[in-house]
Amino acid sequence: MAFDYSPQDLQFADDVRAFIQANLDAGVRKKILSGMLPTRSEREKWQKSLYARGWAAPSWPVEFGGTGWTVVQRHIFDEVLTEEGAPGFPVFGMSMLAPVLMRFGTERQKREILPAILTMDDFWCQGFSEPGAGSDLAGVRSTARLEDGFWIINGQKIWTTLAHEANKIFVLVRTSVAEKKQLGLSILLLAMDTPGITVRPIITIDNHHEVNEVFFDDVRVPAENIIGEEGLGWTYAKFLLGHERTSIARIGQSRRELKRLIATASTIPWRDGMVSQAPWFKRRHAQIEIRHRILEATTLRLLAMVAEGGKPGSEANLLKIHGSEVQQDLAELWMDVVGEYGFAYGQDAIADIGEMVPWEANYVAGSYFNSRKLSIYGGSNEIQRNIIAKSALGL
Amino acid sequence: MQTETQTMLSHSISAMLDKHQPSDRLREGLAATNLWGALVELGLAGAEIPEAFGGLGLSFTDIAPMFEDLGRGLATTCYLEFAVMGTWLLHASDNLVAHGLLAGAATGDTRAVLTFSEFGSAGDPAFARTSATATAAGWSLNGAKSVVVGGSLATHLLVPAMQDGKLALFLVPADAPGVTRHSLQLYDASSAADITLDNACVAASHLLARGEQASALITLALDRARAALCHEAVGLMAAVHDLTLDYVKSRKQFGQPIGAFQTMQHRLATMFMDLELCRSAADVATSAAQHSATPQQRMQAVSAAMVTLCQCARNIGQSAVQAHGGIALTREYQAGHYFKRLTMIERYLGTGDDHLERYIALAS
Ligand SMILES: Cc1cc2nc3c(=O)[nH]c(=O)nc-3n(C[C@H](O)[C@H](O)[C@H](O)COP(=O)(O)OP(=O)(O)OC[C@H]3O[C@@H](n4cnc5c(N)ncnc54)[C@H](O)[C@@H]3O)c2cc1C
Repeated sequence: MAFDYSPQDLQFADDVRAFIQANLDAGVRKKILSGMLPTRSEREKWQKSLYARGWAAPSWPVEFGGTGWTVVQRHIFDEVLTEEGAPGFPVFGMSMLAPVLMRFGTERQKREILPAILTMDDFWCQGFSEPGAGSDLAGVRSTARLEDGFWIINGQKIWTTLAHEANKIFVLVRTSVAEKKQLGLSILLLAMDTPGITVRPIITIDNHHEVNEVFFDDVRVPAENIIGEEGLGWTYAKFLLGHERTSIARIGQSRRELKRLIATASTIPWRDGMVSQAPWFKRRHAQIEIRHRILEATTLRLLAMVAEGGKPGSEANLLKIHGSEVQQDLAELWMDVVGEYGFAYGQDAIADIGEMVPWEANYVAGSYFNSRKLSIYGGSNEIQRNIIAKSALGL
Repeated sequence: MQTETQTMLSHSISAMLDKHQPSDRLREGLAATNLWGALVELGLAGAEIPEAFGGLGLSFTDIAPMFEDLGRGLATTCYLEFAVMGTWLLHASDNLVAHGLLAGAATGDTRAVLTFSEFGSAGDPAFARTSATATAAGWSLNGAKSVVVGGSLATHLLVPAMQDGKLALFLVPADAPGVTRHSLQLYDASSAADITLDNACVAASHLLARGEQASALITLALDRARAALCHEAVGLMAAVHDLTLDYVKSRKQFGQPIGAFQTMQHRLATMFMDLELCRSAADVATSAAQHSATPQQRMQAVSAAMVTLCQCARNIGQSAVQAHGGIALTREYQAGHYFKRLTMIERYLGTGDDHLERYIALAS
């Protein structure tokens, strides 16, 4: 941590670390450190232990189960969790849906939905993108029409992360015809086991199952399962995505990878020495470390601004672009560190070739291929630049 | 300008690949379709072997450009390993046992691979730790070779090993006692093997070259392979560039083709420039591999090409994915497979960093 933290903050960091060591399963930790996704039950177990400690949702207001920490404490908490390989928070429910509900939801929705996000009894996925509506999200074509107190949903979503593990989904659908395509959209909430929903896996080039297509065929949900007002879904969606972008730089994860790279590089032979001594490694590692350091300083500057009641502008877009690029550079460097073993495919394909090759080698190529998503989703980096140009620079 | 031979080869490869479209092979699983057999059927296994040994007697400049066609077709063939490196070394080594294998190599029944890589050697046989000791019957080899592409399909191994502190090259039948192969599937759909040599014994006559001569042979074999690899990369880049260009013209967002956005146009323009630079790099490398006056000149030219290739392959692969958006990350769509193969190519025979270092060392 490069920031000048107070002794209390540092004590807090130690407490968090001790909690993780006492509660996090070693197998799950290893899985996460290798860039793999934990299963739903592994996530849920971890989330429940955070819940028991009162740390289930640091980003939430205290009245809903938040911690009341300072922004710096929250930053430290995120950092330490990531550094130690704890499962990430269930972002779709906690960081996207929940803030929208707190602001626009009914009292009943808050009462019924939020607690189950805290305990992860409910695991939400995000059904926004469609084949024809990627960057241009307002191009959504899935529809819902109101009939006898029910919304009848028809259409298709795509790229729905973890739809196969989620039991709940929020979808952006067209509920009325309007002249402007941003109007007439609504966000509906539904259970994944509602009849008429079909989930089809999409296998990605790293051979993993992370995303899905979700089809809706006359799916019926009660009329009250809508967020806010009919037709204002676009406003809520933008509010929701704003929350996604601020958390996407993943400073803690990059710091962890920088450290792990050094540690691993010093165990891998390279010519007469070790990779960690190779000039190319030192140069590239230092370059990424420097970018990361400045990125962190920018994040903290932003946090300080928020703490003083300011409203960050396009800094969030900048963080998303810069943060994704740092992560991608790291994934690239990993490939070169493990050398030819970076190409071996399949979990543990190379487990039995001996002690010399680090176990991470099994995953680095997959992680590299997968890392390309970081500049595509959450608003592609091109879209982020468009926003900076338009809203910050007035171009 | 293409020569008549080059054009003819290019035509027969394209015709062959028409029957094995990448889209079909993707459906069947690329890995299941190594097209080495199809190249053998075309009589190309012994393309560079002199006619006296049953080959076609072609030159390297004749055959190198056909790698572009193989790249375009996303073909997994091991032609680089078996023919450009393996068979060529058998012939170039001037060794009777090796020459005895050429007739088999010309029919594709004999397949030799150069095991140039060991964990930690950075793909450079000069840093090999495998050792060879003289025995009463010949040589005994000990060591481990890593991720040898084509290693599980090979009948013979060409093994660089240290003998009395000097590099030497040995010919080892893949089924010799003491040789163990562990197959690996690679992300770009080729297959490889980790190979251990545990007192693997060969006759004295299986020493192909020693010292300076061994280094020179191996380095030349690798430089030839690098030149061919540049051509393959050009084919891959051209194909993925075409795919991307088509895609940005047809994919609509915000009511217009995404190719109408200037940032997308610049991305495609940069990809195009990278591709053109790599075409030149491939020519530079091939011409150097065939005609250079000195090994130094050749190595420098080849490394110049490789530095260019590594940079451009990375840019084009990443750009193709970015320009497509999510779809490029799906296993069903072709672009991602080109990206994966390009990712492997930019590291397979030395990284850009390695080649920049070699270039600088040769310049001083
Ligand atoms: C791994 C992964 C997980 C995802 N998870 C989810 C999820 O859980 N839920 C969900 O709803 N969605 C999810 N997405 C979808 C994601 O948000 C979209 O992929 C993203 O919005 C881009 O859309 P697209 O893929 O259709 O690309 P397109 O929008 O077609 O973009 C293609 C290219 O065109 C560029 N482009 C588009 N418009 C412009 C413009 N105006 N100016 C300049 N360039 C432009 C883009 O930057 C990109 O380079 C996920 C995607 C991925 C890859």
